[in-house]
Amino acid sequence: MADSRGHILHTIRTAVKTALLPASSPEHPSLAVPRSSGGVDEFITEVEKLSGRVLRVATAREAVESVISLCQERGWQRLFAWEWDEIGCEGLPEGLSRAGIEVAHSGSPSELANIPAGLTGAEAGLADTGTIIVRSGARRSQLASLLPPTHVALLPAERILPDMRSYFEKLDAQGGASAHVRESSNLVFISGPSRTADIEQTLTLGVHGPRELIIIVWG
Amino acid sequence: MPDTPRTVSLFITCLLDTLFPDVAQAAVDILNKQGVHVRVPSGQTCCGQPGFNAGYWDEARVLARHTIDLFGDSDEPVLMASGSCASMIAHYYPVLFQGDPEYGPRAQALAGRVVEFTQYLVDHLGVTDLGAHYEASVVYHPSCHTLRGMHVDRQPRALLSAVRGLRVLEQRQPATCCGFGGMFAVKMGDISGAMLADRLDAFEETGADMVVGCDISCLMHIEGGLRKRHSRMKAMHIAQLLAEGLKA
Amino acid sequence: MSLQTSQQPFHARVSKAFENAERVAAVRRATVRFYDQRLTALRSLPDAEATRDLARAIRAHTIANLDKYLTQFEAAVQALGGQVHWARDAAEARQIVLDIAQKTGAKRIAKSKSMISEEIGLNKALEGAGLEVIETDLGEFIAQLAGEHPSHIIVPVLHLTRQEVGKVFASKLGVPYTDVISELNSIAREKLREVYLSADMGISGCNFAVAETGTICLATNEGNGRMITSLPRVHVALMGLERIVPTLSDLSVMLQLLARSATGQKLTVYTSLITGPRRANEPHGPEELHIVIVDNGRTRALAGEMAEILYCIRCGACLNVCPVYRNIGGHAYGSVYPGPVGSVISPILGGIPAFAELPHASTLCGACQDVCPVRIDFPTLLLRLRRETVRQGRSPVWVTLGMKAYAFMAGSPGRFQLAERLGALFTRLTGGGWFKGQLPGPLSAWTRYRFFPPFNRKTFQARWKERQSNG
Repeated sequence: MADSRGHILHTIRTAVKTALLPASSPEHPSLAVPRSSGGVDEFITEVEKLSGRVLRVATAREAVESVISLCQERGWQRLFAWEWDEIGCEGLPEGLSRAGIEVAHSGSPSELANIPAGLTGAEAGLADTGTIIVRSGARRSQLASLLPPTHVALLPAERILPDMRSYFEKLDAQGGASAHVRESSNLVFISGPSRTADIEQTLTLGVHGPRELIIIVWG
Repeated sequence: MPDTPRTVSLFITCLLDTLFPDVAQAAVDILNKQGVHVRVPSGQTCCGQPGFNAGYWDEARVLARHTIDLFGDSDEPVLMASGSCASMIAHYYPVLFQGDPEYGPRAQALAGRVVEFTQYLVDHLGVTDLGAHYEASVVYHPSCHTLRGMHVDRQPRALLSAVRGLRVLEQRQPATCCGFGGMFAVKMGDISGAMLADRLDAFEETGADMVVGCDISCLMHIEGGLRKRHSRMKAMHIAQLLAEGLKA
Repeated sequence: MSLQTSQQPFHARVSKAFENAERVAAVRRATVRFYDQRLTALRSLPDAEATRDLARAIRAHTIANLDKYLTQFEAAVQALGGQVHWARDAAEARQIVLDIAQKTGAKRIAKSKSMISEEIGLNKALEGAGLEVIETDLGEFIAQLAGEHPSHIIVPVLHLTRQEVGKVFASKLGVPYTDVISELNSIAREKLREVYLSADMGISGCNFAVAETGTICLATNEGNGRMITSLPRVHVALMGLERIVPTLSDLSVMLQLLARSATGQKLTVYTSLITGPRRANEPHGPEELHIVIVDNGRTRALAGEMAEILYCIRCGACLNVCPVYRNIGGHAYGSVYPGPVGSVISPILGGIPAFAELPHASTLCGACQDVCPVRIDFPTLLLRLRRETVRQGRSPVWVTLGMKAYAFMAGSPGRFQLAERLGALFTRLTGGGWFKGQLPGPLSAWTRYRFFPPFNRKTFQARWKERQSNG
């Protein structure tokens, strides 16, 4: 409703003239705040505090082996995964194929809802909060990290940053955080498996989102 | 001690004036012993906080103007043995008289002169050990306006820890409101009673002999509650405890 | 449901709250725990105080430039194919959502937690139009089934025990009774999974809107927020017009404080940045994204001395620390927003007549300001509201009379001394010492819980004068 928009904006412009706003300044604030500086070790500690699991391996090959071992341990015969080039771990499609594990890259939500595990990459990790970042795209379904009861994420160690602010700063240095975020409809910071403490503040993992998060930090 | 003798003006506060004059006298005695001359401007009534807090700002302004007039326009510190009244003048007199051409600046000036009693001893005189001796176990109740209004906490604790024979115990969730809140104690009586019960339980759980504080409004409410439940615990204003401790 | 959640008067609600000792204990346990967890979480920041200062500065700057950031946000959303609607009040907001539901043929609506949707009374309106509305946040799901209002803005059923939840599930979902928490959660998971896969529309709130990118940021733990914003073909996000930050960098500062202040988590499990509807080449996601920017009285706060309340990021830290909330719980406030923030925002959005007691239900202890991530000066805001309640004649008669009497007697030194002598007379007549009996009328509230102190024979000033003339 066009006149509501105009009315509200007009009301705001008038109101601000008489508003009592302590601490307001015309300039966009940029007070310096001390920063975190954690790396892989802190990342792993934080993920584990959240009941996430980290498998730390040195190479892509070991990462592939870890994925296959997990599938065999758990009896997973099918995975729902991002397209291989988006996960970016060499040897993964071949390894899974050899192990006889089927992989779906797309499908309707109801079809995908019954697959036991989702496999994705991660575009970054944040050490101070034990967070991985997954971003939707043509070949990166946002449901892979949401529908299956277990989410397995492959994260190159070099992508682990100290905190969220440094993530946005890095993106700015690479051509603009804003443009990057605007490429995708859905970018999620994931910190551990899903949880709730709504009943008597007693923690339960795995409510609607995955009840298990396994991060393979490789390289 | 400084070369020139210090002088302060005392704002007694209405509660100390009418209900607990011994506490005000104790504060004066302690200051005198430290070589501080205490003036007491005559004709004091009330800072206006009860009215202000209840939303009656016009009524509060009448009392506040009287107070501002009484304390004159000098640089002399205005000493108050009450965190809530001190906070009223220091923070809210400027709010009450915002935009007032005459009282605005004078309110601001008076606000800048207000010092809480323990703050004066520790920060202005640089004294924590008065030489007091008092055998007892106490729990310190940090009154909200003393703690968050005047940012006074370190000072009374320092004074207490220097008293020989005194054991200071800590209660659970120490910085929790006792539930007085002025008119709140009567208007919201059941909530006030519940908040008080929580604090009294917390104090009693420590096994201490006494509750000590810097704000007589809280202490009056706490002591009223301790007596009602026939507690063996007593309540004392820090000035009283220190003054008693100096008599020994 | 709308902003006001009860027709009962304030004092009746408070009495009711005290009657349920178990509920009081549940609220106390929860809030003490969240309070402790917040302290621990803040200590993990390199400099929590500097971060809070920056957060306050960001909110202050944003509110002072609200029109600029809202229009920037709108343009950024529209450039990606999202739609932005503006609602002046609750009725208009409800109508906008109804129209979207109608246009898109939505019948089944899944909601994630949104305080503003409760404030505008959305669910009732949607159900009234024959639509099915299911709350998917576990606490809200339980509250919806139980027919209760949430009592806390972050933890909706903090007041219920697991036995109570078990009974609700058994009677409303037709499942066998259990009070084992993991089993209760599994029941909810199963029921709601089916909802996610079949819902036509998802309705969410918005923790922060980012102006530079046109992003809606949602901070959730359970995964339901992600489900309802990924699976249904239409996503509607409701936001108060103050829930906006200028840049992604600002968002990162606010996110450092939001979860830590609320529950002591460093971040919620899922922090989703939703920017526009599904892209043409994305396999999943909503086809349509609608953002509804709601005023509903916020500009009234903006126009004057209450503007600072718009800094609020709805973390709930003030609820967790407030000794009044801890004792009376959320329902006693009679508003969708309880606690200190509720005591300020409810009379502003809902008018003083409906919420006249709330600003007075506080000792002004300042603990709220102490924990607020953006350092809102609640005591001063509450004092200003109290002044307004008096101006609007909402003060009980006995309080006004008492105040006038007090102002009169303390208005001159002579009358003040006289008042003291009258008090001393009362003390003498009642046996001297602390008064153990009951004071009359409203003053009985004092003596119900306390003895009353004795007036001294002479005021300090009288003794001082004597001493000066003697010595």
